[in-house]
Amino acid sequence: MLRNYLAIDLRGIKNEYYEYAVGFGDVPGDFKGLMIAPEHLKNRKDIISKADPDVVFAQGKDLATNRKIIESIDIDVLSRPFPIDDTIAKMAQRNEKYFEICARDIIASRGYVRSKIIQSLSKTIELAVKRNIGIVLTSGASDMLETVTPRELVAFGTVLGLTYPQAKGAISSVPQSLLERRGLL
Amino acid sequence: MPKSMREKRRYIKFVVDSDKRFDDEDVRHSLWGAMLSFIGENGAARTNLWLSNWDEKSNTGVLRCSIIAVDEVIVCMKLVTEIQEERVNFIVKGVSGTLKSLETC
Repeated sequence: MLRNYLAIDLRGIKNEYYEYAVGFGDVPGDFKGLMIAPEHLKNRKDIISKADPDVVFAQGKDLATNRKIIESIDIDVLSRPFPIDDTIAKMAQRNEKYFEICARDIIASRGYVRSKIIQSLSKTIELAVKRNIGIVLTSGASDMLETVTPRELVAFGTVLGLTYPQAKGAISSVPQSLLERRGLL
Repeated sequence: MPKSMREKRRYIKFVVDSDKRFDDEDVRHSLWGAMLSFIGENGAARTNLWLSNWDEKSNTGVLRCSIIAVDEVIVCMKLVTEIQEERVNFIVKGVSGTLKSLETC
């Protein structure tokens, strides 16, 4: 018997495991998300006004880009939140930004790259927990064979350094608070 | 060994989502491959992993592992994306301390 989890997969296709999902592009989902790549960060205002998304994500790149994303009022979530330092973490706390930890980043990479991603994400999580920044665990699924169940996302969170309650919060209460803040729930 | 000194175990019920049917050897081999590359030989030894049941018709199985390594085992399962060049998705149906309670998952 599959349980119906009150969990929000903020990034991935809508599936039987989640009550809410944010879809990108043509992927159907409860809410519309927009991911801004680092090279399009300059034109973000035009892109956001054209797409009219419910939640705006921006992909991190380097320290300067991540800082720009955290300072921007249009962006809700910093995706791939590495590298970050304590100054960026402090600003993220002040501006009430969220960090997105995507399981796809780990699954799709191999060897040296995967170990560096895990190292960077663990450091980010350590800083985010210290500064009380909301962490959102997402699947990043683009088809049914990439979906991740809530229990599996919690396992990813605990392996990266979150405690079990924190990891559970990262798939339920934290994304819910983000959607509530945007007036979507 | 007295019961109090025995290692606590957890059972993980899972389904391999794919059109193709796999035998237990394929699943075991791919799981151990992912585990050795992710947590290494030392980490894999601590998991006490054992594929206790495997139903080829429904691609469903039960893994037995140490209580301290449940999350690592689940992550390793998700890292298996291909078996015999066929795309697969390991879906965890439930985690439990007894086989009986897994029947309802």
